[in-house]
Amino acid sequence: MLNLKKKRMVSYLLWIFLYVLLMTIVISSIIYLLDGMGEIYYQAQFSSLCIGMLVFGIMAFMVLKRHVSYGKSRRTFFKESTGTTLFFSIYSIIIIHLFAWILNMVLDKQTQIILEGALFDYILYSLTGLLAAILFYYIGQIIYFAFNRHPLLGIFVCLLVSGLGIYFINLEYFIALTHMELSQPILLLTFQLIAVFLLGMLVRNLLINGAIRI
Amino acid sequence: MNLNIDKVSVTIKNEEILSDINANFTPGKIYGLLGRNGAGKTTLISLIASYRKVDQGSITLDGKTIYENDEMMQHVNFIYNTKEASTETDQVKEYVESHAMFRNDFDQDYAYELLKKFKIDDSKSFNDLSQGQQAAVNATLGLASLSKVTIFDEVTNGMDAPTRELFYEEVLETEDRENRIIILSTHIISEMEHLFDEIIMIHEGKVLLQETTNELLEKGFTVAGKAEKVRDFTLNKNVIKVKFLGALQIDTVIGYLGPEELEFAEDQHLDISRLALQELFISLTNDENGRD
Repeated sequence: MLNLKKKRMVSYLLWIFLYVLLMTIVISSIIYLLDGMGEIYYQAQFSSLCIGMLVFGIMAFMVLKRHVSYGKSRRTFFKESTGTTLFFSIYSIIIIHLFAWILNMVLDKQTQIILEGALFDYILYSLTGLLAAILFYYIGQIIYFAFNRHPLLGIFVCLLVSGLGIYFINLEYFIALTHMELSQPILLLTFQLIAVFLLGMLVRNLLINGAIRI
Repeated sequence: MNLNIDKVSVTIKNEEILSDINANFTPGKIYGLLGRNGAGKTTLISLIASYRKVDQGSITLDGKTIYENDEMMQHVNFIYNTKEASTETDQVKEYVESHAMFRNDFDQDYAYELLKKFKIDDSKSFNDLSQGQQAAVNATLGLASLSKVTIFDEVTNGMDAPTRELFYEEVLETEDRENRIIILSTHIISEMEHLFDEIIMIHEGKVLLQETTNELLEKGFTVAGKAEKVRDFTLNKNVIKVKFLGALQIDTVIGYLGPEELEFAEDQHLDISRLALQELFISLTNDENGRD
C-alpha cells in the first residue's frame, strides 16, 4: 500500500463514495424508468470502476516519479501501487454492494439487480470486478508507456483496448459474460488471473526499466 | 559512504550520451559537476538518483548498487527545479511533511528553519510561489533531507542574488556535512567556485577531469599589466584568453610558473593571480581549442 497522508486518504475515500453514490442515482433512475433492467447495476458500476482504475494506471507514472525521488525502488512502487489499487477496488466494491442492498429495498428489484441473489453470486461478482479493476490499472500503465515510447504505439494500444472494451460492453456479450460468470466461474476467474499475472509482469518490467525524464 | 561510478555508459535513442564514466565521491566533500549544455551532467545525475538505468558499468554506494535498492536509494536525494509546476498545488508545508514521511533522515525542524531564512510562507501553494521561491523550497528540501548523497541540479536558477548567497552559506554549514556527499551541478561557476572541494568536468559525455579545486586552479594563472609587457611575458605561453581594460592587458594562461619567472614578473610590475575556474572551464571545454 502506498504511503498516503491521512488527510489525502480520507479525501480519496470520500470522493470514491460520492462517485459511487452519483453513479447509483443515475443507474437507479434508469432502472426505475426502464422496468426490467436491474441487471445493468453491477455492469455499469464495475465498468465505471474499471475506467477509474484505467485513469489511475495512466497517472501512476507521475506518482512513480515522486516515489523514486523520495528514495523508493520501482519494485516497491509496483507492489505498493497494486496494493493501493486492490484496497480502493475492495472499498469501491463494498460501497457498490451497500448501495445495491439499499436499492433492492427501495426499488424492489432484488431479482434483477443480482441474478440469483445468492451469497456465492455476490462473491463471484466481487472477485471478477476486483480482478477487472487490477487488469485495467495495468492496462492504464501500458497505455502510458506506449504513448511514452511512440504516439503511434499509444494510439494502437488504445484502439486495441477500446476494441476489447466495446466487445465486452456490447450488451449481448456482456450478458453472455454474466452468464459465464455464473455457469463457469472457475474458467472465468482462471482467465482473469492469468491475464492479471501476464499484464502484471509486463507492467513490472516496464516500470523497472522505464527511464524517468526530468 | 563512498559513491563510485565505474565505467558507466548510456545510450539514448542510438546516441551515446555518456561513455566510460569513472568518478569517485567521498563524504564530507562538496563536488562541482561542470559541463556545457548537453554534456551529459543531468543524465549522469539521473543515473545516480536511479531515475534511469545504466547500460554498462555500475554505480555503487558503499559497495552496493543503488538502482532498485530501497536501502541505498534512501541515501540519495536529487533536487532539481521542475520545468512545469502548475500541477504542484500542495502547500509548501505539505511538501515538508511528505519528505518527512518518506525520508528517514529528513530533519523537519531544520526545513522550517530554512524556509524562514528564505522567507517562504509555508502555507502557500507551491505553484503560487515565484520561480525563485520554488527553487528555494527545493533547496530547503535537499538541505534538510540530510541524505548521504545530495545532488542539486542547477537549483539556484531563478533565485535572486541574496537568496543564492544564503543557499551557498547553508550548503557550507549544512547539518551533518562531514558525512554527506554534496554534488552541485551548475552553470554559475564564478559564484560557486569557492564552495567546491573537488571538480568533475564532463565534456561530450566523457569525464574530462576530476581534481581538487586547488590542484585544478594551480594549472594556470592570469597576468595583468601594461599591454606591451604582458604580451612579451606570455609570448611563448599557452594563452587562452586576452582581455583589455584601458591601457591594461589581462592574459589568462595555462601552465606553471617557475620562481625565476615569478621574480621577473614582479620586476616588470606584472600582477600574477590565480586562475578563475570559469576561465579554465571555458578553455578546457572549448572545442576550437581542442582538449587533452
